[in-house]
Amino acid sequence: MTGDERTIAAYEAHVGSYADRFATAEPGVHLKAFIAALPPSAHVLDLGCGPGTASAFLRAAGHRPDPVDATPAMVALANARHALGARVGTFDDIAALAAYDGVWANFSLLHAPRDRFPVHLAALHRALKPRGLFHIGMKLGAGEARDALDRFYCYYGREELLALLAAAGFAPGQVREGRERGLAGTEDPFIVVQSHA
Amino acid sequence: MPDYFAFTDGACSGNPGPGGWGVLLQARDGDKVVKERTLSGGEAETTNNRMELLAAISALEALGRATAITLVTDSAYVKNGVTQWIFGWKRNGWRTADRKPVKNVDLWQRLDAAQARHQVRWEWIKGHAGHPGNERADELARAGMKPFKPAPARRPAADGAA
Repeated sequence: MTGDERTIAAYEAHVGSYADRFATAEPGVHLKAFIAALPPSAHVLDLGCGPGTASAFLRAAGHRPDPVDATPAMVALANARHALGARVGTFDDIAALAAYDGVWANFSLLHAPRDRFPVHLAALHRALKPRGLFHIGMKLGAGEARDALDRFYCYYGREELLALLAAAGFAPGQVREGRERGLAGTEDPFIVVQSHA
Repeated sequence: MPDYFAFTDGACSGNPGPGGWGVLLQARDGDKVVKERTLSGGEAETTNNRMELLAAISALEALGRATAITLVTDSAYVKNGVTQWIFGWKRNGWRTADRKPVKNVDLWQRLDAAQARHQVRWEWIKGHAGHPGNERADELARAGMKPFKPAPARRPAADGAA
């Protein structure tokens, strides 16, 4: 398996603008909460690391990030910007056993096909040490779609996602949801779940 | 320039027990709501006061830039804490007047940091009294708590593996 070629091609084509859009001076609310819940010097899988922003903040907080992304241009950018030792890998390459204190999967697994998602969750549970910390961010909704950039997305409802997490062995510790309605209508409801293996 | 409002509420089933928090953020032009955002969350083991605090924290942390905002809470604990008690606690190195450590100090410090970025007008209202913003924040808080409410019939067998 090599990941969704069209999604990867979309990220390859937009690597620069994507990186700039998500560049921030300090970690966001969810990353702060994740960092606060990690043990000291934690070994953390940054799954779908993109330009390496989260891994750079993790390292600055004294942790040991292992950034992985399926898009070679993103990995190159992460290493050029932050010298993180980021590597190319897909969700299907998760083979570690009890290796990580934490997994940061922030709006990356939404690109996985529905039938593969439970397999990836199970692989992440195996990759975590007992009681390891798992952060997942997903978009809420139903069905599948491709966006204007041709990226593939798979959507889940809250109960559906929590049931899948439970089936993979994760006990949810904190759940956070958000949605926004402006003049243009509803924008991207999301869910973030912090749980332990 | 629209006026910004945050309605925040916490909920807890048992004290401690499963709990949730809810936030309704509104940008208003007069009586007209021009933009709206909701946030909610929950935890397995918490208290009502912690959820009230986390609601206010989440509202302020969600604001991208420095904002003048009216934060409406039905928690006297939050309102009095942040407008009165906190000054004494900070002077005393986060201890109360009788030198005991401040309860929920982690959240009070987070709230203190979050409000420092903004101009917050704190407003207390009576809860469950039919105020639409407060009612919606309450609904969100209860929704946030829902995943953690014991449901013996269909609770997945994840705990044994944890």
